[in-house]
Amino acid sequence: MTVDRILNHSLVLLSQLLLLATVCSGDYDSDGQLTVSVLHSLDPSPRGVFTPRGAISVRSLRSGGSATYQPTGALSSAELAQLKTLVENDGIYRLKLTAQSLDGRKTEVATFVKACHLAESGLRDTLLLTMDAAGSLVAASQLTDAGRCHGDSLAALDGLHGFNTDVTIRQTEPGPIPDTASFIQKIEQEKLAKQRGETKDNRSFIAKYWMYIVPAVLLLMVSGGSDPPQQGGGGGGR
Amino acid sequence: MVVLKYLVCLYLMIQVQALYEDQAGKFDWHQQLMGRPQLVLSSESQPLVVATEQNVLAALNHQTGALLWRRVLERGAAGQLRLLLNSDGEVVTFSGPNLVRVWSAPTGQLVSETALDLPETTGQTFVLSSGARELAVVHLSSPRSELHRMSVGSDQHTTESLDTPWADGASCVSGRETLLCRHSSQLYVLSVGSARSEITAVPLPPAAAAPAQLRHLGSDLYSATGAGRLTVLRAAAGGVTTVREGAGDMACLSGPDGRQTIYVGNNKQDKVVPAVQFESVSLSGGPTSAPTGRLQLSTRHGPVDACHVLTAPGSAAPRILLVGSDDAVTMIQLGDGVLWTREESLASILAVEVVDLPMSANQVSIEEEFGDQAADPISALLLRMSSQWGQLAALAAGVVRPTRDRAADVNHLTRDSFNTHKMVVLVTAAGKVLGVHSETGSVLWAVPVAGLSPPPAADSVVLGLQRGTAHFPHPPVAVLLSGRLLVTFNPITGGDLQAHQLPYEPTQASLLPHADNTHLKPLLILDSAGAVHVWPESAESLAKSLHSKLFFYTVDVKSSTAQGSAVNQALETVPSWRLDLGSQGQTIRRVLAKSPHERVHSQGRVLADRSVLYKYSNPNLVLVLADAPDPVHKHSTTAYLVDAVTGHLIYSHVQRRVRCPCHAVHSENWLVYSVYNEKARRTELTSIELFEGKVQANASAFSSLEAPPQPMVEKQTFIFPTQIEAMRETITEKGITTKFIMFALTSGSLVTLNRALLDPRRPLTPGRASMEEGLPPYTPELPLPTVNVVNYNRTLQHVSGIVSSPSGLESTCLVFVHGLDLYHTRVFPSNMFDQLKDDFDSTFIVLVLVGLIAASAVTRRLSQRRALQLAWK
Repeated sequence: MTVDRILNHSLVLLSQLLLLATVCSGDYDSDGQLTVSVLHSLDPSPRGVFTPRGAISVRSLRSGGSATYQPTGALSSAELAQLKTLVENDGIYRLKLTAQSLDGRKTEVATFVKACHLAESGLRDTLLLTMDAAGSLVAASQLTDAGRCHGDSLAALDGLHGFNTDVTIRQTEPGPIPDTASFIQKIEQEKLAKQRGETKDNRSFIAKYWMYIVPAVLLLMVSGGSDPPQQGGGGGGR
Repeated sequence: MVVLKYLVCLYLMIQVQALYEDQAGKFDWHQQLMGRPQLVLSSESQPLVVATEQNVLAALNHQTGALLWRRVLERGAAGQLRLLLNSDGEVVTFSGPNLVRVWSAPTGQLVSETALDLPETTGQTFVLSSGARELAVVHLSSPRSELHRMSVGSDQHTTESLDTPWADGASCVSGRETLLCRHSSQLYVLSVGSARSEITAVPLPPAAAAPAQLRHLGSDLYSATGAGRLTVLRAAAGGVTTVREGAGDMACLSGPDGRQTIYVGNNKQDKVVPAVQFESVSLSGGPTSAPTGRLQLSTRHGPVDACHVLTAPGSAAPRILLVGSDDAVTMIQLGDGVLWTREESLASILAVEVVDLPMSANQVSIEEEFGDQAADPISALLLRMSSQWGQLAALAAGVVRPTRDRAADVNHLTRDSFNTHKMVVLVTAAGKVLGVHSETGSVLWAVPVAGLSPPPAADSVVLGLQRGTAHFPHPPVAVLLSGRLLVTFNPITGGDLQAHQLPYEPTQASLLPHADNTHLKPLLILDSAGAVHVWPESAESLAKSLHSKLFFYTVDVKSSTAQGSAVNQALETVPSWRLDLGSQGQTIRRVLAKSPHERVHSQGRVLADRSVLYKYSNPNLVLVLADAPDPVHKHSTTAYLVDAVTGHLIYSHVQRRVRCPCHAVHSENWLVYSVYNEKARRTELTSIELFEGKVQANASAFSSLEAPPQPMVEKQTFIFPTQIEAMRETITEKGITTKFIMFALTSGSLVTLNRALLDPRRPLTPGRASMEEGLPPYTPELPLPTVNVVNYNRTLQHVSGIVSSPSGLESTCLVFVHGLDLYHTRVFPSNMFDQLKDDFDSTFIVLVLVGLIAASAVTRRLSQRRALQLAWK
């Protein structure tokens, strides 16, 4: 009876805590979603002017993670012109991603890609987000499938008005540990097999007994060679 | 059979190069150091006993300065020596928070050790002695302090409580029976001489005010030095009296009570040679008979900080031990000169650069002979004939009149034929730059650099070689950056030293891999405002022309972030990428890039089916190790592999229940790092190897911006049987030789281990494919056989780093280990395949050859005679 009550109590407390957590972290929605806002800069100056480009909502971090990208809108003609100048000057296209992790910490990561790579891939890119076990954004990489710039980057931009973005989520994986268990298991199996005499020696006869055969053959050769002296001497003299 | 083969294979891998007994000391040298002396104990019948800042208790020979014995105590605060006492032929020390040890002075044997049962304190700890074997430990904290009295040999103690509301922010010096504390405008004297301790407060004498440094001289005398003035104070239970006031930089006390003499030293400069002028002051009031004198020191040394008198004033000339600001320890005899000097700054090395010696004229002519490939055959023949004639003439001249040994003269240093002798340039925490000959270990030049000490942070010192010795007539140039101080010098002679104070705050610096038209590699310096500066400034156009290939990365340990930036036309940095590694309180412990000198010989690994697995050898790959307290697993350590140009996080993994200290090596396409497993209480080595796959994206060059796809990551963890202090991989000229990893262990040995034993692809169950490839089966624990100990019985204490450098021989890697010991040796990872063994018997071969030729001549003559006789028959 009392145990039950305590349990109930703690349950209530737990739900309250959960509520608190959801209230605190504004970027997490009630179903555990993480929203990452994506800003980009088409300005080549050191500081850069970052404008919103879209948002990524990350769901179910536990099972590998899945995410969707929602663009803010198509590129305006002014932005397209800026992008073209970037490509012409062999500049870099920069991205800034901000998110708030479960523990309320704001994280900001940044990445870049050469503007000509982006243009030659037809504004098609993949954002690779790395999250750690706590659901905090560690790094982002922007990947394009253009291998290298060929010089016709500007032409590739014609008729394009927006990005075609995929998002991939990757989590920091657990590192290796010394594999003592399977090593000991292997040793024990070998020991057992030896005890049972299961180890079948499937080597050939010569491979098994070469250490006896070689001396015997040598002995034979030595004794056989010294036996007939006349024939050998005659042959040598000719 | 398979197992046997594996055992043989494993044995061959483990077996490296154990030395024979007669080879000891042939390629290696060892120097034992002690560090900067803090407390000095001397009597005429005993060796000179010294306690140093590096937690070493050492005894030196009065006459030669040779180390008689050395005891290395615990690292850090746990081994800090606070008291050194002489008690009937025995040395009593108090170290760490509560350890009292008694040592035998002639042998250094530990006679007894007592751990006192003292309460833990958050304040400062001072130890006084109120008698030959009576100790008083003061735990100074505000508002109340504690005083514990005890005698050596018993762990009984009495505790007294003291009222010390001023203890916060007070700077104190402990003497024999008194503790002198300075706090704002008051001077406090805590005296423990009588049965009850008492505290006296007096107004601060102006000479002892804040910037002046307080020191204990002996018995109840203290000195306050600052700005060339020296005041001697007598502090007793009653109060403080000024004994002497005047010019001076240091003072030392000699003689028994009642007949004490103070020697006051002044740093002087005789042209460029530093000197010390000593005068003596008698405390008994009467005129002093003690000699005074002026003494020239070596130009290698900076001004002197402290002195200790070692002989009673009755003898003709007292001996004085001088401790320099550059940690040089010099013994002088007044009126006689310098007896010996020890270069103790070598115990605190911050940066090392190994520099090739210049080539001799002979070697240059050989280089020229084969240098010009495009020349037409006739001129090449003429060139070769003339150069070979020159070599022959030089050889003949050498036979007729052997040249004298010039190894000691820095201006005539030349390379040996296999380039195994080098100049090791060292920067120490004491603000000194030294050049050490790698063959003998002798210091060839040493320059104290004003403003270099103390360095802002141990790892913030950048030392690089801007121009090597191969560009005659341009002299070699090395550059050193520490804080705002930039120093350029000639690394072979130590000359041409020029120091510059930079007008900006550098945050990152590295050498440009391209040289300008004088073969000088410019130093690129990133400042805190994000601008890139070029040193020398004349090379700015070169840097500007390469700006699209320049990228910087900085790692901020405080905020746990890593940032990268590109460089634009105006040499400003454009922030390009940023990683946030600070989640869950992570702290960055180690950042490690590859050695820029490294060459990768093979692009891939041949598998059993004769296909090639290509290596992912990204030169811009950086390993970042960070650890964090973990609520469930106590600690967790994360490894990140980042491309420093694009900021692409190539791979990351987290290990639970392990923490730093992390040591790491990073070479070719693999990394190995060590962590400490708290649960199993052992050191573990994690090995990571990266492969591009069976096809190579770009066989001729690697570009991070046009990077190949995600590499394959192979990883495995091994148990290392002992603890590691430092690790480094071997490096050879062409990178053909097998890579070994060298570990400096806490036990003092330097062990090599074949990298193949740390291959993450070692299979658990051996198969035909892995056997053909030469992969040994996986064993969780790594073997550490004693034949792999490179330094045989020469123990290396508190190793702070290992430096490996290639020699002219592909088989040979030169290794320099620094810490409390200096050690230099050669290792042959794949044995000596390109040279004869050093015990090769050439005289025997020559004798046999001569004998054979003689025998053939004799038999020929005999057979001719026989043929003639036969013909006459």
